[in-house]
Amino acid sequence: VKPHLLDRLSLRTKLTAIMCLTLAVSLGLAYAVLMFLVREYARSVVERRLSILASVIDVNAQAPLAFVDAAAADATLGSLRADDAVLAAWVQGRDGKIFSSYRSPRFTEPFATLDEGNHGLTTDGDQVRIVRPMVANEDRLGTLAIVSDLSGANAVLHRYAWIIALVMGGSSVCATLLWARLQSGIMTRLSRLSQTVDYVAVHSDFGARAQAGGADEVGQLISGFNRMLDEIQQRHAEVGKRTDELAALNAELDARVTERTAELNASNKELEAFSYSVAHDLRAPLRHIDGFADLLARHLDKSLDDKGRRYLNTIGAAAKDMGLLVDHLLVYSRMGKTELKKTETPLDPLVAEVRQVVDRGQDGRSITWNVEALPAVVVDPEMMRQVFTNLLSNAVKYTRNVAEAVIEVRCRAVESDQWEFTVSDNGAGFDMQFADKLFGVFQRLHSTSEFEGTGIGLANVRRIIARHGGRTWAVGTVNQGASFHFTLPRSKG
Amino acid sequence: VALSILFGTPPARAETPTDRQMKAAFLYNFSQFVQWPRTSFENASSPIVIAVVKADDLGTHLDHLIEGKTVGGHPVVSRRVNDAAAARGAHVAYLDDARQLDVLRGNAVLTVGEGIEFTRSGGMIGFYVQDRKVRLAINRTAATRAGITISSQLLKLSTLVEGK
Repeated sequence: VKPHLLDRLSLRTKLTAIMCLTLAVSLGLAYAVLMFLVREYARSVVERRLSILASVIDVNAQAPLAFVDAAAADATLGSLRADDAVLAAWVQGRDGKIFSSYRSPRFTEPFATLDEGNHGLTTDGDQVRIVRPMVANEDRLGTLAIVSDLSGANAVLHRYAWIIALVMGGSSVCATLLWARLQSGIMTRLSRLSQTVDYVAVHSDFGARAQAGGADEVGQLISGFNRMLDEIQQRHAEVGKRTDELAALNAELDARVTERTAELNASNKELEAFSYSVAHDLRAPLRHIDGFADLLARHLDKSLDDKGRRYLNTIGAAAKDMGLLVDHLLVYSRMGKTELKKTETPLDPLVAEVRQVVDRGQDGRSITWNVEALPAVVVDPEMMRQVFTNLLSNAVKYTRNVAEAVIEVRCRAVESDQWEFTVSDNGAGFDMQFADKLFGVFQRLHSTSEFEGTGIGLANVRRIIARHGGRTWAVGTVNQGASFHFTLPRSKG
Repeated sequence: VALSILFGTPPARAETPTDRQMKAAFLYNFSQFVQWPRTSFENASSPIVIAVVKADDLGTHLDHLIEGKTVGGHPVVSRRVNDAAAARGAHVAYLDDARQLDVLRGNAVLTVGEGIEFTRSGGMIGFYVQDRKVRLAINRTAATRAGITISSQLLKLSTLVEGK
């Protein structure tokens, strides 16, 4: 919709324009009507005076006409000289000839012949003419005509035009002043309200208030707007308060987390240091137990019966097992502490090498290997060798009781920046409800008599993968096989 | 010019104006500027009688003029008489001799005659000629004495004469 010209003006200008238009139209109409009335009145005054003059002249000219005294008639008509407005007068006899006449210097026209048709008052431009029959009793003596100009009426008209125009001009000024005074009460409040609205919108200062005033609609508008601002300000303050509270709460939480994490790290370090030193310190006594059990067996060689020899062997084997456990613990501990030496490592040769080592321990078992092509990743190669050694030896170990063992190594890209590696077998498998325990230190799902081992291998795998930024998990079913999964980042680092 | 106005006759007849014609017109016109006492008329439609003693062509002119005319509801009629005595019931009497005036004394008759001398002798209106125009002389006293009022309009045009 095309905006109307009026819509672009300010409210004050618009109202003023409407007021001026209304005033102009009503005053214009009043002026026209008044001027018409004044004109009619002035004309009627002139006409009435002319009628009276005609009656008087008529009466006074009848006898001179009846007794053919032209001089007397001339004298009677000549008395009209006293009236400036009268231009001419003439008496026409019954024979149609002019009997007597009067003419002012301003009247230059010939005297018109009078007949029955033009009796009465006629107006022609600036002149008004009266024609009346001269009747003595019932006898028609002749006809009288008097011509007057309307200059008197026009002068009256002029004077009144000025007076009325002045009065109307005065009342217009009064009305305008009154209007300016009355509308300012409304408009000033409205523009103040408008400015406040602008201010609030631009500065978002909900504390601003429009100056209240008046009980009319504008007043109600202002107080309504102010009430709305009250409400908004209150809500704003509440929201601010809540936000502050929340921020404080968050900060407190952060601080607590940081504190707890520090505490945890500290106690972890302490624990590791403790277990490392314990493990390290345990090795010497274990070697002594093993060594001296061996020495004792040799020393008593002949006198030792079979029972004693079995006891000493058991002591030696237990000390060796314990030594192995301690060694593995130390390795696990080192995995957490030694620095990572990351380098671009192609996994294909690494896995093939590990496979050879693992395969070598098998005495003629038939194992089907399905190894996919593997990518190169940025890792610590020694640690990665540990990971694959653990996983592949586990797979070989737990398929020992399977006639046709199948071991697979696969790799696929996931989540755009990760590799997921899977080592799966068709061996003993495990119960999924213990899946999380698999990766714990010394956690075992099978007895040592069934499958040998210290239960620290998978814990090491998880620790190494975690240090490289990946995850580990396992899926399995009892007697159906197991699959071990871990991820590594594809990008460098 | 003035005569033709009065008679309202076609130009052919107006071309021979005489004092007699004008006087005949005046005799009729007097009835419009004179008021008789109410007792002079029997009723509202009684005629105004103009009596002419020793009627000559003046009577003829008069007859032409007054035909069908009324003044204030009264028809105007003319009567030819041989002497003043016969004019006693009339309203206007044209006399040829001032000596006959006494006969009409005491009657409400407007007496009209020839010359200013006629009014000095007690006649009410007398014709005289001045500057070739017929003028009027009026003896107002005589008219008032007879109960006749002459219009001031007429008096203004006339020469006022004091007489018997």
